[in-house]
Order: sequence, then C-alpha cells, then structure tokens
Amino acid sequence: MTAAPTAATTARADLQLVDVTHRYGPVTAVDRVSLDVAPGEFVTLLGPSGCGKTTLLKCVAGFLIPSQGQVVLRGDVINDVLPHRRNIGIVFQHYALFPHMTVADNIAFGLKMRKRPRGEITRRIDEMLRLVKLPGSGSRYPHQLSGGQQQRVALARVLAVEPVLLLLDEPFGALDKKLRVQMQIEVKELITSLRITTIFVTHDQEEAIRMSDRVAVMNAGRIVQCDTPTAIYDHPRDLFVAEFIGSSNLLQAKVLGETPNGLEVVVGGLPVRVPGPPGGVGAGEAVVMLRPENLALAATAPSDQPAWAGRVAFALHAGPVMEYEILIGETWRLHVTQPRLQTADRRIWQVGDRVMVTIVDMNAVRVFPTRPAEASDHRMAPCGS
Amino acid sequence: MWGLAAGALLYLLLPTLIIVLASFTASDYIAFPPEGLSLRWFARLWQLEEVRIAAVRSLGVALAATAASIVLGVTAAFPLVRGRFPGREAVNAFLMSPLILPSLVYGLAGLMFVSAIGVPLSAPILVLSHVAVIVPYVIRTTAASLALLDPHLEEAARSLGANAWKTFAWVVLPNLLPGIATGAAFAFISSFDNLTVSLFLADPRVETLPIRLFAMINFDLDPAAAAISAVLVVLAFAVVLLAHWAVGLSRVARL
Repeated sequence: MTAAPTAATTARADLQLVDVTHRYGPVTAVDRVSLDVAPGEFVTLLGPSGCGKTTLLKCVAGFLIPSQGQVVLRGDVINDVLPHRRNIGIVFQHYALFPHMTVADNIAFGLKMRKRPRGEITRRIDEMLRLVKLPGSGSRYPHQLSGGQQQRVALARVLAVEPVLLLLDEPFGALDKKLRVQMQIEVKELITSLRITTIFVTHDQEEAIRMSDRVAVMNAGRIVQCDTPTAIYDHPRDLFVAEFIGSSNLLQAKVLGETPNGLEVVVGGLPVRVPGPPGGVGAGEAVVMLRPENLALAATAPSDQPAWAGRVAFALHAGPVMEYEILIGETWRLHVTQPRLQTADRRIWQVGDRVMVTIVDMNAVRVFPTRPAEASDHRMAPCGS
Repeated sequence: MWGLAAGALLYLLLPTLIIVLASFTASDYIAFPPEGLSLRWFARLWQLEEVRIAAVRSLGVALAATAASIVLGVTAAFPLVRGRFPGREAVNAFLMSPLILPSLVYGLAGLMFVSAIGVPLSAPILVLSHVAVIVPYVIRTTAASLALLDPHLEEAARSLGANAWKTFAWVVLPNLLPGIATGAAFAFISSFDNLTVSLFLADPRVETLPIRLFAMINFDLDPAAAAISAVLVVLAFAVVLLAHWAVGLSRVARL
C-alpha cells in the first residue's frame, strides 16, 4: 500500500477528497470539494436536495467517476477502482435488501462474494443478528420485516464484511419520526462502538447535528462550511448556513461602525453592540442573525440593556417550548422560543400581550454582509425552518 | 355488475368449451352437441402419423423460438428500460409492432424478405420468423419487471463485493424471473399455436400442428381436428398455470 504521490497525504485521514468535481454534461453537480475524514470519524454531508451530496457519495462509492480531483482511501487514489473492490459499505434510504433472499442470505451475501468458509459465514450471521438486536430472524424474508427491522438487517449486511468506510445515504428518511430518533441513537451507538469511519448524507439538519462529529454543509455543489455541530450552529459562516441550520431571525440591519468591543448595529430601530473580532462586515447594510432561543420576553424593560417593545402576535404550544411571534412596530416580526416550564420570572404569554424583547447573549448574535440580490427577502423575519 | 362479468366470461369461454365438448363426439363428423361420448378421436389422433410428426415439430419450433426469445428479449429489455438515448420510445414501439400488425401481413412480409435475400425456407427460418412474432411478449414482461427493480439493489450488491456479472446473476436475474417466465409462457403458446406466419414461412415439407389442423378442417370436418383443438387448449392452460404456479403470475399481472 503506497500513498499516491499526487495526493497531499495527511497520513491520519481515512478518506480524503481532493478537489473532487463531477459534471453531468454541462451541469456541475459537485464542484471542487475537498474533505479529510479521520479514522473513526462520523462526518455528515448536509444540504438541500440537489446540492450535490448524493453525487459526491456516489463518487466515493465508485458508482460515479469524478470528472476531476481524487478520492483517496487510506492513502490510495481509488478513482479508477471498481465499486466491488473498494470495500466500502452503503446503507440506502430504502435499505435495498435483496427481496428474494432471506435475512441470513442477505447478510451472507458480501461474505460469499469474498469466498469465506461456510462455518465462518454461519457464525458471522449469528453475530451480526445479535449485534443489531434481531437474533433468530435469519430465516425471514425482508418483506416480513418492519421498516426499522429492515434498517437493522441492512446495517448487519454491511457491517458483516467489515468495510473500511461506511456510507449512510439518508438511511432514516423512510422511518416515522419516533422510530427515526430511536434508530439514530442505536446506529450512532453501534458505529461509535465499532469505530467505523462513516459518511452520512442527509437533508435533515436536526439529524446531522444530533449524530455527527463534523457536519459539512453543502450548497450548489460546494462545501460551504465544515465544522463541529456546535460551531456550525453557533458560528454559521454565511447566511446560507445560518438559514439552513436551526431556525433563525434574519433581520436587516445597519452597521454604524466598528469599535474595539465589536460592531455598533441598528436592528429593528434598536442600537445594539455586537461583540466579536473586528473585520468582515463593513459599515452599511447587513443582516443580523438572532436564534429564537436567544431572545427573552419580559413585561417591563430591563434598565441595563436595549429592548424592543412589541406585541404577541402568535403563541404556539410546541411540546417542551412555547413558540411566539412578536410584532415590533408594523413590520418587524421576531420568532421567540421559551421553555414552557414556568418559574417565578417566566410566564406563558397570550396573544395580544405587550412584551419587551431582549437579547440573552450578545456573543451569540451574528452579523452577515447583505446578499445583494436577496436582501429584501430578509426584512420580514423569521426565516429558516 | 356480477351478471355482466359472468356474461363476458361465458362469451370468452363458450367457443372453447364447445370445441372441447365436440371432441368427445362418437359420430363420424364434428357435431355439437356431441352425439354420444367417446374418446375414439383422441385415440385416432395417436394413429395419425402426420399429426404426431406435426405436433413434435411444433413443439420443437416453439421451444427453440422461446429459448431464442428469452435471450433476445431479456437483453433488449435493459436498454429499453435503463437506456437514455434519442428515439427510445420509437424503438420500443417498433419492437412491439409484431403484436400490433396483423400477423398475416407479417407472414407475407417475412416470406417476401426471405425470398428477396434468396434464402430457402427451412426449419431455422421458421423458428426465426416465430421469434420475431413472439419476442415482444418477453420484452414487455421483462421490461415491466426491470422497471420495478430498485436500482439500489445493484449498487448494494456491487458495494458488497459482487462484480457486474455476479450482480446480474445473483441479484438482477432472480428478481426478473417472474417477468421472464410469464413472457416465455405467452411466447411459447403463441409460437405453438401460430398459423398465419407458419402458413407463409414453413417449408411445405415442414408442417406444423396448426397447419395440419387447418388442412384437416379444410378438407373435411374430421372430429380429430376438434380433438387436436382440445389438446391445444389444455396445453395452453397447462403452460399458463405452470407459469402461474412457478413464479406467481399474479405478481406479474399487476405490472
């Protein structure tokens, strides 16, 4: 196993993507994507449909050959290696279990292709079924299993061959919400305990944040930002990431100037000082991102910080939290979420209540340069999901 | 509603039923209702050597034509379903044309073509002409199965270490079998029963069972002809039932 001289090898990376590009005719689906995945790491490709994440996954699996760039697996460039020689396992959204084979034969498939002795295959099937908590189900057929069980068999089938890399292509998309959350935890535990390097493709930002060591947010064929879930959530690099991850109030604002302590910004008629490193956003039009959970409601304005005076336009019971829409003046709307538990200084607000809105943590406020063409879309917050 | 359905079914089955019942007649000519019951015409069938030879020949032609249709039809189904090329729909329509064209027209065209290229009529030519007529059945049913096959199955097999050939043999083919078998059953029956194409393209010395049957009815109303018909009906049902039993026709019929 020699490292290809052309690959800029960081010896530790299990998978390296070097400027991977894929074009379908004139359409560039994946555009110069570079990514290093460390051994045992769980990296998610997250993005809206059509962002290129599935195309990228197929380049890694070998079903598509990159138009440019290199796919490097454990130091070897594998661009030209056929899929069946890569030892990369995939779990698909609809599991792709072989319908004409029993569960045991499905799990045995990869081992038979590797010509393992029969005794070993039998042992391995039992071992895998126990691992995915389906002991004794070997003689059943896929159509006799529930979605969650099929999911487990798909995992067992892939893990049986001990792949060097595991690809999960929207594997929870077909499950209902409750089962999805349960399977997310199970799969994450399983993968963590086996220390398998994993690439996970999803359009569900909640799922991505929940499961990943790192999230690569993709848009229009490129990785926009690749970082830990916390960093992605708290420090989105641009408006696209800010909108796509979590929900945000994106408010049009005016930057007055920079001080050593941060930016002086006027947002919703209120002057606020956003701390942070200087640079990035110049004076003029800008967009301020406020997470709904970073806003607090009170009956009277606190003396020590700026507050918007508003009226509750909408109050929604959303399980653990209350979701409010606060109307500031005529046009400004703020999306606010508050824990529903009532304590001495917190109450449930009703539609029509007059409230003061304050920012809880100034450090969590982000200021972005205005996107020229779409700026007007953001005057009316909230945006995001 | 039920009455209408029963009426339609009766209308479809009655002629077949009449010929089958007529074959049991004891009289010297075809009669319905049968005049007395006997199996003498079935016994006589076995004594008519030219019927026996024609039956064996038809069986041979149908088997050979069906085998060739399976190979051609399954191969053709892939580009027709998976391929993305200009004129795909046109090719599709063209390959279905033998099902749409009057087979008399096809038989005449086939004969003119064969004589134009100067090939003498022979058993292989007859088989080939049957293939052209019956291959659409195999293409249609195989294509329907293939269109329903999740392409991820193949990707899963590839990623688990199966090369292209093993993926086809272990994963694709087993899932296409119901479709292929159904198409093959229809193909076999339409070759075995074919009269119009054989009339034009069979060497006069290569007489198939339908041609023999046609001749017998032409010359006299020999009840042996009714007996052959009864055998053909039973055979057709048997083949379809066999296909049904083997692969579950209902699975394919839904396509």
